[in-house]
Amino acid sequence: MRILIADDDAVTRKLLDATLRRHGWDVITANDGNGAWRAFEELKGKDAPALAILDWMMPGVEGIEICRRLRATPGFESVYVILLTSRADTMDLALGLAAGANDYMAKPFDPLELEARVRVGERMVTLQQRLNARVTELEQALAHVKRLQGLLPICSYCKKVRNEANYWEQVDSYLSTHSDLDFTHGICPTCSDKMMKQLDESTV
Amino acid sequence: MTLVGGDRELACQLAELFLEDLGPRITEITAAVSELDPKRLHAGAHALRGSAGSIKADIVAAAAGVLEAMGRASKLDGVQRALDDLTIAVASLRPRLVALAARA
Repeated sequence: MRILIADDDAVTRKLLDATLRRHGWDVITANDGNGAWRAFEELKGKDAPALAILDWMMPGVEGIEICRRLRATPGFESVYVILLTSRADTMDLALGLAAGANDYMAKPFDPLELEARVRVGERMVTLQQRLNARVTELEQALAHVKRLQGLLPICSYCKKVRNEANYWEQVDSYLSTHSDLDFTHGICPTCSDKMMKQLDESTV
Repeated sequence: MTLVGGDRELACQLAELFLEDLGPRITEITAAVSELDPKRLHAGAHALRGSAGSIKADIVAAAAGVLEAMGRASKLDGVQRALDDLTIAVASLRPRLVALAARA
């Protein structure tokens, strides 16, 4: 999993980078909010970071603003965001979560806690990816499903139906094109009797 | 060493990085105090507090925290004394960090 770190403090950035790499994660870093946003825009798609650790207070664009932008941008809504900050009161926590952060860690961070929270994020990212794949599968399957629904005009006499193009067509023809039904043509007992009578009368 | 997972080289690099930024940060905070600019003081002290906290320089972090709180509240009574405390804390820390960075 690729992780983006954005913090204007070189010490924090180095420590985060080293701690995450030690656990095998792929890490990219940004010195400020503008750099972080640029990284997302440039890496859009499968190379984009799936998880971001953002410092709240940074020059230029703050971490909380990056969080809002991610939530508002198609393709980035599911990025797992951990806000990292020494702003620790309840109001700040509420603001951060309301802006769309998934988690919040106080500075100075504890390496064990960081690892644990990133692993939680990784689980969520994996679940989200599986869900997205499943939705795509279902949408593709649905596109191939033919469904009959709604009101269908039908002639009370000959039983022809009026299709979407406003043409009257035989009901078996309509059903064949609008469902997975196939027809095998026969004769029902009532029509069979009628036909037999007609034949007898014509013979006589 | 728990912080760096036993990685001595990382510890040295962190000391180096902290020292690189320390001078400019102290200059910024000092300028904010002399201009009695609370917003500038808050931002500068916040940055130093975060950085010092990351390397467990708790006394420097605490001293920066006092200045940060003054800046946030725009209450600058006693700010010079608080800056003096920070200066003393930094002076005490610096030689140890210089020695650590030299091992890199």
